[in-house]
Amino acid sequence: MWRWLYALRARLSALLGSARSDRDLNDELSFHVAMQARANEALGMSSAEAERRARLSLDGVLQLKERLHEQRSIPWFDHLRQDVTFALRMIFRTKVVSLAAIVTFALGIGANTAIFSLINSVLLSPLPYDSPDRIVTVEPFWTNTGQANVVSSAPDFRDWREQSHVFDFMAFHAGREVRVVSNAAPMFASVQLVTPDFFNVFGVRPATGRLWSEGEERAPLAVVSYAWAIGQFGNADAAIGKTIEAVGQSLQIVGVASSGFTYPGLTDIWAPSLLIPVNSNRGGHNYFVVGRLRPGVRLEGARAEMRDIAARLEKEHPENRFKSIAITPMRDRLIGGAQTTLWLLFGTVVGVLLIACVNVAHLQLARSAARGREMAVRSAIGAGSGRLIRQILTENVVLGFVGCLVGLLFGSLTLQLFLLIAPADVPRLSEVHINGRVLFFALGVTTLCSLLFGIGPATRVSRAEVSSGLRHQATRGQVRGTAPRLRSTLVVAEIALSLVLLTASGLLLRSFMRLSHVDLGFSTERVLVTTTSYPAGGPAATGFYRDLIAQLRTLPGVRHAAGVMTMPFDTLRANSGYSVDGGPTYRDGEPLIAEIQVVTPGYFDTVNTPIRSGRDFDDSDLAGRPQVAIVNERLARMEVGDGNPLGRTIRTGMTPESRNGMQIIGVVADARQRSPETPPRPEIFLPYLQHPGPGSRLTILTQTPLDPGALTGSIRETARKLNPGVPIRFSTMDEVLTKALSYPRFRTILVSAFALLAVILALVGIYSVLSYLVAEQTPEIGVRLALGALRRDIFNRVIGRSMRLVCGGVIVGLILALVAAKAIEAMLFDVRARDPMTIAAVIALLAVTALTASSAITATIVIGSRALTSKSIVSIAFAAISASTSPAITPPKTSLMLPPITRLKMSRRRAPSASRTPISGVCSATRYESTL
Amino acid sequence: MSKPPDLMQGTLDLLLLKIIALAPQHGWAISQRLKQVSSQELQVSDGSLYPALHKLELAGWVTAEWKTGELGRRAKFYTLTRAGRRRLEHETEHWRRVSTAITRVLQLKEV
Repeated sequence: MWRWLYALRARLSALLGSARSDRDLNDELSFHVAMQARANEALGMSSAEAERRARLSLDGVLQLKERLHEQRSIPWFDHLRQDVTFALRMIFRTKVVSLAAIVTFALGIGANTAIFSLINSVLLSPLPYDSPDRIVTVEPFWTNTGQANVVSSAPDFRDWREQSHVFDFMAFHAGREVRVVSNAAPMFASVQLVTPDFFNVFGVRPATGRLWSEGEERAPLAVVSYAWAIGQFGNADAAIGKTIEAVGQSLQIVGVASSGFTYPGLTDIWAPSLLIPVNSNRGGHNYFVVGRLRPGVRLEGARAEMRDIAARLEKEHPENRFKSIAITPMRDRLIGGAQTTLWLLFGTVVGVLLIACVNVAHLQLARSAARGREMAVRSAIGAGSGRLIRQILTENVVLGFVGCLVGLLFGSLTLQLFLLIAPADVPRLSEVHINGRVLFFALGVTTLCSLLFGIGPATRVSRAEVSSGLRHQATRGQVRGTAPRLRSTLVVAEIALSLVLLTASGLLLRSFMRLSHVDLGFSTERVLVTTTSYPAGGPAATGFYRDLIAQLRTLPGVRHAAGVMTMPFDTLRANSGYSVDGGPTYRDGEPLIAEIQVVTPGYFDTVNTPIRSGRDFDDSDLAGRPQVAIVNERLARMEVGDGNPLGRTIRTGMTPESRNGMQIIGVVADARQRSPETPPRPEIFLPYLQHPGPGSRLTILTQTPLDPGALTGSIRETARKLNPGVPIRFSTMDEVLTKALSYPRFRTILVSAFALLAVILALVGIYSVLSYLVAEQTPEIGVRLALGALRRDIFNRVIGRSMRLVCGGVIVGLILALVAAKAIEAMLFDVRARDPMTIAAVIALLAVTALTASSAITATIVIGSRALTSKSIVSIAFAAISASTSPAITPPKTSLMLPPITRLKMSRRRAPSASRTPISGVCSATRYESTL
Repeated sequence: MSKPPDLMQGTLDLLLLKIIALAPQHGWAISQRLKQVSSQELQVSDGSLYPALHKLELAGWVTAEWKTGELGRRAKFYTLTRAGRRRLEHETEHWRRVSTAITRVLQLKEV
């Protein structure tokens, strides 16, 4: 056993301290020589002779050393080290080319790393809960319309919970940002009212304190989030026992949730659900239901059971007609929206990477062309082609890895940038960072790509012959034979890929432009948004707002002021069924549903929504007076067609007061309430004074000809004088609109940025490939010019060749682009996937740039052609002479032995048309030259 | 210098192990001792000596140490390890068996 240890030690010390072990070898051998020399001197030789003989006795010292060295080391490791050292040396020697390759590759890898980090953290990593695949959301869905609701009603929830056997725990939650008092300061906080099993559904454990349990649904307790506790009290333990005021009650904090848990969204405070009376109407869908399936229960089984329960409830309760139950895994609910955007981005950066790889492949190919001689020499002194290929691949992998390192740097910087501009509601954004899996991905991709761009040079090396490589000397600078077909393919590939990316980017840009200029039905300019939250509902709140708005109207700089219950683009909206004049609540099998909005008088003026007929609410529409309502055009058209809706009665289920009929007193223009993308829905407006329930939390809008920010001070003062306990937050309608457009904007910016990057890379690539193609034709051009060819003709020939490549690329790219466009159709707003204008523009752009590039190259070559003419003639003559001495090729000697100059002189005197007639002798020289 | 007889590779290892067993010494001393003891019969070319010594070291049968030798220079001294000693015994036994067998064959009387 010890033997192996000694053995290992010997090998390792040789491996690791190779310089030292070399020195040791030297010392050992030179000691031997010295001893032998001394012995020789003792035998009577002179010291010089003694030395010489001693050295001789160690025969073949060099080979000895080599053999000893090889004995000691692990061979393949040594070769690898050699190759890597050589690769690094070569990279440093050809700094410019290497830098170009590294930067190009780094850009591709960087973009991919950044996007993959996003995808990894958002889409691929499991959710940060216990056994997250067991957590589901439960929703009602209507079998007659196929529509689902995200919220359920409390009686339904209770029945589902009692009757089902597939759930370990089931709970509901509901809430939003409301006024909270903590540390005696009023502020906004996100509060959710939850049933006792809520924390069990997610497997949350308290960081400190406790969570409440069954039986405490009415207790004045609260559990707060870790971040909120730290923010308010400094550390989690300090939060326990503190009192906060929320939902109109004094609550004691009994626990702090584990760090990182803030479901749903960014919740700060959870409180028991029965602190506020629960809506016991089976049709009042206000609650989000979540559940944890029992271990071993399959989703399909659970769905089946819930469907049975729904069927039973349908029979027992007429209002549950057509209502069934849907179960969605929590994962899908949370990340579903982000999926398409992220995969789109991934597709884009893969395209960028491919273009980058094509560029690097071409650079490497060009580099390998210049090394034909080096490879031939290596081959001649004994390197097998396997060894050569391994060396080339190692060089490429080393280059790739250096590029990868730089790319990781780019990538992390880019990622920070993304996180800054990403929409705030991208799920799990806070979990995004570069981790092990991302690095693994980057390294894997790098290796793959490096091998890819090593294939070209490697195959070239394996096919080359030693003799032809060594003979390369004769035609230095000639680069024929370096896989012209491969290079043409590269150009076509680059053009095709850029076309695809440009098309996607163009479509998205067009879509975004349309979206940002869509007619919303209301104006967002110069409107200040003041978010408030009154401590309690009821008449006190309505009184506060009435006074506040009246006072705000008198402030200088305020043109209009009004209050509204649900901000445009808010995700939590109120909607309800309705009926006009006691008519049906269903039409064509679909229930009539309208958005419900509670507003103060002056709302329509504040947001510039035109009143088409009738009047706005005014101060006479008070509680106790006849109930009134305003509808939008869409509802009017749906109910009365071209007739007059004014004076008709409308009923909704929204508030107790609205169940009795309300008289329609006005019709306003349609507005896109849900989002800029969604077309307007039927909408009913109710005056807040007649509906004190929902009228207790209003957002105040003030229109001003000045900059909205200038009003904040005076508004805050006015509100504080009325009631200092009301927290206030400011924003502008423009900001609200910006936020609503954040997803499309994010997509568009990123795809366009990547497309631009791709195009720049592609243009660089095309430029270098074309210039290479042209350069290799230089001698031929020179000859043709000498024969009297017109510059213009040469120009056309070369351009023609380049344009053929570009056309090929455009055709392939067009096909791919059409496929890609279809794939992103869902994300486009008001733009067809096969939008001809975009596609035409993109093709034109690419064609023009490619044309410009090749013209520029050709022009430079052709203009500088005088010098070329003589050079190429010399090279032809030289080639002719050297070839005639080589046995391998037997050209028609007679025609070549004639001095080419004579022939050239003759042709010059002819008409210019001669340039188009090939002259056989010289042409064979050209062809012949190319085989060298 | 007379040509050394052809030694089988394993035999060279055996001889080296034995010499090193007598006392730890450096490469030159080993080759001198070998010449001495065998009365110039066995001479190892130095080109074979050092590879053989290094092979023994890599196999773990000897271990090497750098000490100051004669001439005041540093030299590499080889010592036998325990495994090496066992190997030496094993190989010696093997050699005895083989040489006995060869001798017996050679003692056959010609008819």
